[in-house]
Amino acid sequence: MIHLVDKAVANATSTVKRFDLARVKIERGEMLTDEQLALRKPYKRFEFTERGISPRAVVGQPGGIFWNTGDEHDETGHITEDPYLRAKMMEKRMGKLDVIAKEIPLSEKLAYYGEPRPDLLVVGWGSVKGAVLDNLDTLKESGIKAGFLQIKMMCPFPAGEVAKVIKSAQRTVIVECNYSGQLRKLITQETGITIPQLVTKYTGRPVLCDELLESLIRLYRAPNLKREVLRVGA
Amino acid sequence: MALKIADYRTDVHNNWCPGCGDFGILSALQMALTELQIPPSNAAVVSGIGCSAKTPHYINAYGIHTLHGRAIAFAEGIKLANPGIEVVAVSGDGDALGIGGNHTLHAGRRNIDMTFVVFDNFVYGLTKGQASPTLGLGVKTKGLAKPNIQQDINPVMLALTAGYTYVARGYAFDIRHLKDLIKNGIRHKGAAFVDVLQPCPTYNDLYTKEWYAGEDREDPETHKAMPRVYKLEETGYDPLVKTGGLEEETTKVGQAVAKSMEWGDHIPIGLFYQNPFVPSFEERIEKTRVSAYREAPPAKLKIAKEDGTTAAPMESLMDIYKAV
Repeated sequence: MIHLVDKAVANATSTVKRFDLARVKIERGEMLTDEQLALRKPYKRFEFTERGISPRAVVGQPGGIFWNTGDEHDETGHITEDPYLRAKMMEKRMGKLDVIAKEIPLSEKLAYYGEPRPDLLVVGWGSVKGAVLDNLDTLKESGIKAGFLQIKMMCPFPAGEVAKVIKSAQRTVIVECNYSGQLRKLITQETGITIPQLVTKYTGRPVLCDELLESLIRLYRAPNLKREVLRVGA
Repeated sequence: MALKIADYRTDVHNNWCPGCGDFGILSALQMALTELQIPPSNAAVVSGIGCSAKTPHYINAYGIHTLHGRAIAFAEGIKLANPGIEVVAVSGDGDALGIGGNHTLHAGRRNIDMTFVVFDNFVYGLTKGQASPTLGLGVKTKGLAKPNIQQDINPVMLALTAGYTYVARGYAFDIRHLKDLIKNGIRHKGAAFVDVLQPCPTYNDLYTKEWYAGEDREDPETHKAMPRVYKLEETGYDPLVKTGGLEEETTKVGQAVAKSMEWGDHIPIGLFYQNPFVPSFEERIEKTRVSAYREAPPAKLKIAKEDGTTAAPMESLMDIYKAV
């Protein structure tokens, strides 16, 4: 798993409540004990299984010898150029994405804040969340019923769910801390929907509440504006 | 039951070129593991990318075929996570000194108890014979359009100055001699570096088996070929640091550096330098960081309780961050 952060998240410090450790369960996947390994002869580290996941041993376990390679490999892990095996291994690996998509709860993939069926849907990820949330009430006071879609998982991408939320809104704008609007591109790639307006900030400073509010109102009033660049912050 | 060499072989089809020096190195490595009676599941052979990198697939032991130049980095991780495992990293001259030069250099500073074998044939054999970092300035092997424009890195000298505490050079077709160098490298308590000269019959038309054997040089008296490689131990050379201390180390490293510069008609192989007085990285951890490191290394630690929650003493860890 790769944790994606933007600079503000990476550099931020904040006071948090003590973590409730009882809520965190360590799941190491399908690991084999020495006893289980003794029953599997020969042990195949990359065995084809119904679920697409092969039980694993770790280096040094008696009877668990395997080979790892960055090239295509057979079930034991040895390098192979067999086209039949190659296709099967690709399908096994990529099939794990389906397992992941099924196993991870929706709340880990995205979060929605604000009223349903908004006039203005703000989409974002990372550090922009706080500034967007702080503006939802103010936008409502200005007559704009707004909602915020926070996207938490980029791969496998929750395309169906994201498309559904975007389609429920009158207008959509995306806020990101990178020059090109990388999440916007990803959403287009995965859903076929291109969010028409982008708010971006790439000074390495976090998006501030005030500048974002002005920007969102301006964009909402002028649908032809495609891009707003935020620059506040020393 | 004693382990036999067959116990360290796999039935994977070998696709190295006929006459490749890799075969000699593979045999020497398997012989060393056999003589040391290291159980296959207690050994890990780690490689990077290149012809040399296929070696783990031919050895029945944990085999980790990694990224270009990164054999050392992965091997260090395996060894530090589980110091009870015998770890041998294998790498080509390009892999070890070009792409992975940084890892090779800094592994010397750590002196982790493992063995690093460099398959040194002066060319990037897998990608059709480009000059590797060990090919000398002005030398032109058959894959090059023009003579090499860069100077060479001397692997033995590099290892000596980087801090490896066991530095040797073998020849791929003197398998028994190489086996002993690898075996003693595995036994050595620290980072062992074994540079192995080897022909690449496909792309190196200069440093061939015949060239190493000196078949172009006839002894005027015996009319026999005069081999280019000679064994340091047969010349009274003494590589071992016996009492430790800066003065002795300076002398021993100095003589080894001087020897490493010999090339051409007289190429030394054998043990250049061994210093048993430098503490291994594992000892350093044990003495200055975690006294129970060897009994409870990271790989053997239970990280979760029965209910799946963390076994780490998080409460006391979090106290460190508590506001005063």
